[in-house]
Amino acid sequence: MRKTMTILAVEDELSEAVSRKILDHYGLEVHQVMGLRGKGYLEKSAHGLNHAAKGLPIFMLTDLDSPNQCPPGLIRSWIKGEKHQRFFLRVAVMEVESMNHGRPGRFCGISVHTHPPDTRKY
Amino acid sequence: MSKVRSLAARRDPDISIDVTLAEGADSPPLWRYSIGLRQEPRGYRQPYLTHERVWHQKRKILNRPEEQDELDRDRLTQTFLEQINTNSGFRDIVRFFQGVTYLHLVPQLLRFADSMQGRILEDDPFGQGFLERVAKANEKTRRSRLLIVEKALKIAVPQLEQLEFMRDPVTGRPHLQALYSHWRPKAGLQREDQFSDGTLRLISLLWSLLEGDSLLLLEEPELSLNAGIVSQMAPLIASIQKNRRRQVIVSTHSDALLTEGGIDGREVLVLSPAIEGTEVKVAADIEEVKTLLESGFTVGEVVLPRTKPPEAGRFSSLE
Repeated sequence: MRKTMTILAVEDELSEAVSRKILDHYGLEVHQVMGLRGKGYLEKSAHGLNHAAKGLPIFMLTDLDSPNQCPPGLIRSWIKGEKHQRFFLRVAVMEVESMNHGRPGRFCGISVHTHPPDTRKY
Repeated sequence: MSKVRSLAARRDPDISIDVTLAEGADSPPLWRYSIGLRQEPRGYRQPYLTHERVWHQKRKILNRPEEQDELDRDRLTQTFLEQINTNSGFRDIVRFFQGVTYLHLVPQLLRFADSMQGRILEDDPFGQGFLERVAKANEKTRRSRLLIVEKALKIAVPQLEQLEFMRDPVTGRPHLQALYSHWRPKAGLQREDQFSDGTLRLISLLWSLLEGDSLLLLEEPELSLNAGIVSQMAPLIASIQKNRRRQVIVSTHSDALLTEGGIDGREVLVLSPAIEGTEVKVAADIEEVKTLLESGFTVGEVVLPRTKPPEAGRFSSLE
């Protein structure tokens, strides 16, 4: 069966690897990677990517970074308008790196010993 | 032949080149030239034509091998394109090919041309004889071109105040000389052997853009230049093209060069290595690229990540 074509937008290589694993699990194939220029670029691009989602599904993964903001607030402030149903903006709390612990870490096949412990402490 | 054949090809491949010429990207084809080459499997291993065809508009005016080619196979070792007696019906194509300029100035070859005394390749692709080309232009043309070059250089190199052509009073050799602003009034004059790589490349690039109206091939014009200047290169080429209609084909790895929002996805070819040889696609024909370009992203943001080697992330951790 032909996989669904997706555009991926991430801030770095680590987020790219994790996102690819997630999308592959849901039968989605990455045809284009955008970003890899940090969080600021993703924030700047979110509005345009939401528009591009009219053509193709887009998956964006970013870090929350700060406990002073909540994920829905971040999503609203980045998109600045109505979110297209095919634009999937997901926020890792606090960092993608913290996925190594618990279920997400097991899903990605990451050993608990290879990464720092709970990133919320940093 | 082994140097131009595709590495992915099977044994004894046909090498084909097909060129279509039109007044503009959206105009109907005016001329089409197609050629197929093969190498003799034994003996002198000479290259020979498998076909040579010419179309004017939609009418085919040459179709080789002809009957005489079949009778005398030696005729197939020469194209009709290269012979004055046989190319009179399509001289426009000949002129087009003759006018093509390839430029990849190597600053060291220009800077040390006198001391190296090296042989200059046909058509001088590496700019060793660039100063001779400047010298050959008639004085009025040279002055007006150098004024435009100087104007652009003053923006890129703020200390540069004046650029002029001169001949060495002793040897008679041509030189470029620039005046740089300096706290010592008489110390600011420098010749091209003291110019930076970027300055020399920019001078030759601007000169070539102003020089003719035929196809110009530029290889990585971003080298040695500040990203701020590189980001203005596409609009600069476009503005010079307006008056001279010189078609320019640029190869690049530069994000800065492709950040200009005015670059049309239909003008960009993406080269991707694949198992059966390099795939060449028009950027606007790739669905996801087209979608992103239409949403306001630039060619640099969308197309360049596609050309990144898949394992590039491991480059910094070789051990």
